[in-house]
Amino acid sequence: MRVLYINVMEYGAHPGLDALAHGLDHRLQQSGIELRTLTVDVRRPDWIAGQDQAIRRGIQAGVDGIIVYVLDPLQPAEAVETARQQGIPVFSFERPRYPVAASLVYPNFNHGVYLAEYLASLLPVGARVAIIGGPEVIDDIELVTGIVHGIRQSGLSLVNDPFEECYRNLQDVAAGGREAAQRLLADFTDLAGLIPFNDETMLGTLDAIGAAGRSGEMKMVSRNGSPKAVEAVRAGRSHATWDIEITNIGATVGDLVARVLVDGEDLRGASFIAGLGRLITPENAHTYKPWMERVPHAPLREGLS
Amino acid sequence: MTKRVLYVNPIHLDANPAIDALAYGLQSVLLTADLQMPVLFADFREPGMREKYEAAIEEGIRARVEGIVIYALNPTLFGEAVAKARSAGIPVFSFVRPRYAVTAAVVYPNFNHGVFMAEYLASVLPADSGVGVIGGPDTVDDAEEVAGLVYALKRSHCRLLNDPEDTRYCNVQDVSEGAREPTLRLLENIPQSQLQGLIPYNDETMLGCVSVLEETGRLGALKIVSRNGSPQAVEMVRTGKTLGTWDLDASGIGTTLGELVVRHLVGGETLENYLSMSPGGRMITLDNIESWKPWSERVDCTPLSVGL
Repeated sequence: MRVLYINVMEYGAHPGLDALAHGLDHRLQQSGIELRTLTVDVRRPDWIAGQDQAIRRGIQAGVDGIIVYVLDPLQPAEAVETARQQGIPVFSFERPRYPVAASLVYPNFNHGVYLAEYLASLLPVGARVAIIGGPEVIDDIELVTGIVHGIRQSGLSLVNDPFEECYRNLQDVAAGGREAAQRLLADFTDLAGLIPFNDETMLGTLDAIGAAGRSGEMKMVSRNGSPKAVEAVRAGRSHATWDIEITNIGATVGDLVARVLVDGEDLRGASFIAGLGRLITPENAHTYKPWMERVPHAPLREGLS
Repeated sequence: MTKRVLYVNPIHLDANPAIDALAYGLQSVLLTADLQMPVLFADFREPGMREKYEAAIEEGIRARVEGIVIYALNPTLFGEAVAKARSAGIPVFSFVRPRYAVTAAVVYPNFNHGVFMAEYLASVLPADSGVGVIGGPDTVDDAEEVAGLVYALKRSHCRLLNDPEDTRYCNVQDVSEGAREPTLRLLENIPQSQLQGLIPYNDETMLGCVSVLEETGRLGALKIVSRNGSPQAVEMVRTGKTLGTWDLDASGIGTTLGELVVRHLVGGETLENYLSMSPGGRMITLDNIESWKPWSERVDCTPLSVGL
C-alpha cells in the first residue's frame, strides 16, 4: 500500500515538520505502508493550487490514502472531495471544515497557556511581556490565542498585539523570526519577557536580541522542543521550550491511517487530539531526547514514480 | 491491604451529571485495579468552599490514604494543602492542570470543544446570523471552552452578539437554575430579529435556557448547541429542542485519570507533573443519536463510598 503525504515545506526548512514526517513514515512502515511525499511549499503564493495538483497526482497514481496538513480549514476542499469520491481516504494534520476520514487536532491553545504560565512563574506580577506571532494557519493562531489567554490569566502585562502583521513571523522560519523580533525590539524597551510563538522564531529572535545588544534583558520561552531550542535552554539563552513531541504527532496520524487501511476501521470523520507533551527547562533538559533519536530519519521518498 | 485513593468531589451528587460520570469513570478504573475510592464532598457553590476542600484533603492526609484526587477548579486553589499531602508522601492527581506541582493531571481540550461547537452551529446558520453565548463560572475549563467559542465565532460567518466573559451573561452557579437570569438578560438586550443561535456553555446551562425560551415562546426560533453530552441534553436533541450536544465523554475523562493513578500506584511508574489529554469527544446530533450510549452504560456505576 502507498500513502501520499502533501508536505508543506521543503525538507530542511523546518526541522519540526521534517520530524513530523519521519514520525509518520516510521509508523506507516510498521504497518507495511509505503509513504510517498509531494512537497508544496506553503510560502509560495500559489500553494493552494499546488496542493490541489498534488492531490490530483496522487489520485491518478492510484495511492491508497492521502494525508494533508491543514493550514486553511477550507482548503484544499475540492481536491480532497475528488479523492474521497474515488474511494481514497484522506487524513489530516489539524481539522478541516470539509469531510475527511479522520483528523488529528493539536492542543495548541493549551500549549500557549502553559508557556505563558511558566513565563509568569519566572516574573513578577504585572511584568511587561511581548509575543511574536506566527503565520495565518490554524495551529499557530490557536497557539498564540492560548499564549494571550495565559498571559492575561497570569497577571502579566502584554505590550503588543501578536496578530498585528509587523509582530508576526509569517514565513515560519528563523529568518522571519529575526525580522519580526527586530521590529518588536525597536518598538518596545525594557521587556521582562518574550514569547516567540515557536522555536524557529525564537532562534531568529536570539540573533535580533544579540544584534540589538539586549541579551539577558528578557526571559524567553517558545514552543516545539526542537533540538536547537533545547540547546538554547541549556546555554541559558532561552528559559524553556514546550516539547510537543512532534514525532509522536506524526506517528498518531500514522496510527489513524493504519486503522483505516489495514484494520478496515471506519473512523467516521472523527477528530482526535494529539498528546500534550511537556516543558523542557534547565532542570529537566538532561532528560530530553533529540527528535533524530526518537525515530529513524530514513530519507523520505519524494515523488510518485 | 487494599490501597485507598481519596477523591474530593467538587459538587454534590446529582447536581451535575457530568461531574458524577467523571467520578464513576475514575472509580471504575480504580476498582478494577483493586484500589478503593472513598469520596469526600466540598461543594464549590457553598460558602467556605476553599476551606472545606482543603480540610477534606487534610482529612485524607490524616487517614494516610495512598493517593488523593482533586478537581482544580481554579489553577491556584488548594496549592498549600496539596503541597502538604505531597510532603507527606501522598501522590496527588488532578482533574484539570493546576499551576502547582502534582503527580499527574488530566487536561480537557476545552478550547477545541468550544471551537468544534461554534463551527458546527455556524455550519447550520446562514451568513451574518447572530449568536449569543451564555458563559460559565470562572473556572479553568469553562473559561477555556468559552475562549474557544469566542475564537471560532469571530472567525465564522456569524456574529457574536454578547460578551460571554461578562458575568451578567454567565451561569456562575453551574446548575440549570443559574442560567435563568443571564438568559433573560440576553433575550432582553438583544433584539429578537438579530438572534438566531445560542450556545449555553454546558448542558446544565442549556436546560435552564430552554426552560426560559419555552416560557417566553422563543424556543423554536433559536438553534442551540451545548457541551457535555449528558443524558438530558441528548433527550433535548432527540425531541428537536436543541441541535446538538458535544459529548466530552465525561466518564472517559474519569477513566483517563484513573489510568494515571493506576500507572503510578500499581505499576510503580514515576510520574511528576505528567499531563494526559482526555478524549476529544464528538457532537451528538439527530444524525448519530442512535449511537450515543448513556454514561451509566459506559462504565461500572457502583455507588460511591462516602467518607473515610
